Amino acid sequence: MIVMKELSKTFPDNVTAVKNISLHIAPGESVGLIGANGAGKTTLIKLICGMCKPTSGYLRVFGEDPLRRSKNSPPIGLVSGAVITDGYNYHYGHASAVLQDDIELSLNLEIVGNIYRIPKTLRLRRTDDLTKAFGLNDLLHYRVNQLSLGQRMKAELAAVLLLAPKLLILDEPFIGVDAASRQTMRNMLRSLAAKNDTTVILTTHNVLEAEQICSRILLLDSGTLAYNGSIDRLKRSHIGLNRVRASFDDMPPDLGDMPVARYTAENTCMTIEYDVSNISSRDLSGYLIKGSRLSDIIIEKPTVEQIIREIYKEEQNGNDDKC
Amino acid sequence: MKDILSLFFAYARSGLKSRFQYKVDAIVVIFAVFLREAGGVIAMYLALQKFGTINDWSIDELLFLFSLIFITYGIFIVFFMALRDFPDWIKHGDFDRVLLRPRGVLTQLVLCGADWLAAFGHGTLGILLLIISANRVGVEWNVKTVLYYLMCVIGGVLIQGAVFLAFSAITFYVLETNSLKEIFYWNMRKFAIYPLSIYNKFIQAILIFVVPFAFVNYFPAQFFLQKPDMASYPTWFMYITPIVGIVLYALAYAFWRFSLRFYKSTGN
Repeated sequence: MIVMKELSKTFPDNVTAVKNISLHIAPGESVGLIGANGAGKTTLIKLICGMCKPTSGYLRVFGEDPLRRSKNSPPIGLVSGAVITDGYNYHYGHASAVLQDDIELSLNLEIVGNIYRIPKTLRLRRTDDLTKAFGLNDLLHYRVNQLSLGQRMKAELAAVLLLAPKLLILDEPFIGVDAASRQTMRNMLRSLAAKNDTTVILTTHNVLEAEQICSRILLLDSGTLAYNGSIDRLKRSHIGLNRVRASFDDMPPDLGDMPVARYTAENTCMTIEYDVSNISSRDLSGYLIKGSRLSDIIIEKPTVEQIIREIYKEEQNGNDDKC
Repeated sequence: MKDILSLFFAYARSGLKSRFQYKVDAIVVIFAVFLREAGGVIAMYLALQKFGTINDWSIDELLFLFSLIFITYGIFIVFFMALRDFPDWIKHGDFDRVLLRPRGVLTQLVLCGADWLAAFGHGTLGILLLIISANRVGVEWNVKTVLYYLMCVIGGVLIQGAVFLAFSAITFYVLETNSLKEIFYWNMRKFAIYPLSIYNKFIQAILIFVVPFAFVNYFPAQFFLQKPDMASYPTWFMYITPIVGIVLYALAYAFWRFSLRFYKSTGN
């Protein structure tokens, strides 16, 4: 579906936004593109969409050079989230919204259908399905600028799904969206990803969201691919420390020579951090239960976000060493 | 073709709907455009009360000359508004959306941009002036002249479209072209309301060869009016407005295509 070999993009001001990225995204795969601002996510998306030309390297999307996309190329669905500039105003990311502000949603969908040459009956059927799924039925006769941000993003996503795109790219789609709409969008995307029919690329800096939708994570760090693989593997290879919070009826026990990384005790509470390859959660909690009067215990696994923060830290330290 | 027409009508419907959302406001805007432009006509009329003629052109002949500017602009702005406002399209990223869609880039820009209010304002004024003046200057309407008039209008629209297309292509390199447009389009347009022959050679050259407004109204008007000042120019200039329009537009299009490649290779 998408093949990149040593892809680079340097802008005329000598900023290299994408450095030597090689990767392969299979049809139907859902991939989370994660990185801080300026990591090169947007440039990578632009390259995939054929909006700009790589400085060097090889890139094929649907087996064709995206710069040479023709009228018959499979459609790419692109949804860009809002960038809030101040309290009230927002504009859209690099490729601005699909929908036109000052006309009704229904007419907007008609125009999208027209541009993409979707036969009328098919368009109406899909519109029907999508508006139901997104709960937009009552909003069809509203002008887009009358919608709330959450409603609008749902409408944007619906408009793009109207194309039944084989490749769906979402650039920070959840920013500023209320929790309920977010949930609807997430469910929609999850079921889309589960069908393995549409390739989904989700750009975000919210790792938890990516984790719920995507099976693979691409971590971009200043233009290079810092990590490329499943979330599970990320967790396994960069195992963070598990953490136990335990409280006791009286004094916490002495951990003695238990192989834990570190612990702190305060009054009747205790926080222990440990590496599961040294001691299993079962052994540790068993010890705590046996050795003292345990009243409560919480075991926390390291979150992907923590792990990613650590990877970034490693990278940065690595860079510092070189300098 | 049918496909493109249906897209144009969908856009037209949406454009009209959004413009006429507040009906009173829309009508006031059309009226304001009409009055603003008519102000120029009235000023000319009053001046002519004093001078009688300008370079042997009577007030009615001048109105005929003027009407072509308004009529061509009224049609032009239905198709080329996106190019008029093109720097904004680039700055706001709207242009990238256009790039992604399975339609010709320019097709989309031409079809989706229509300033209907300006079109109605300029169009009505132009047609009104044409109706008033054509009779009085003795234009004989027959199949041949009507056909040629229509071709000249299309040519005039294409000439102005070509100018804006070229400016839009320049936008890819410099991002902001509004002042260029101000100098080379809007100012030249002000010159074009009077007969070409009243200006010095330099301005005449610009109006003929650089921003050829002379072919939008002066030479086509000469075809109908046959004024003596036409003697200073080759006679065949009266007949080539449609060709000038097509050739100029083709050149501008080639430049546009070339610049679009540049835009993609640099990114923005």
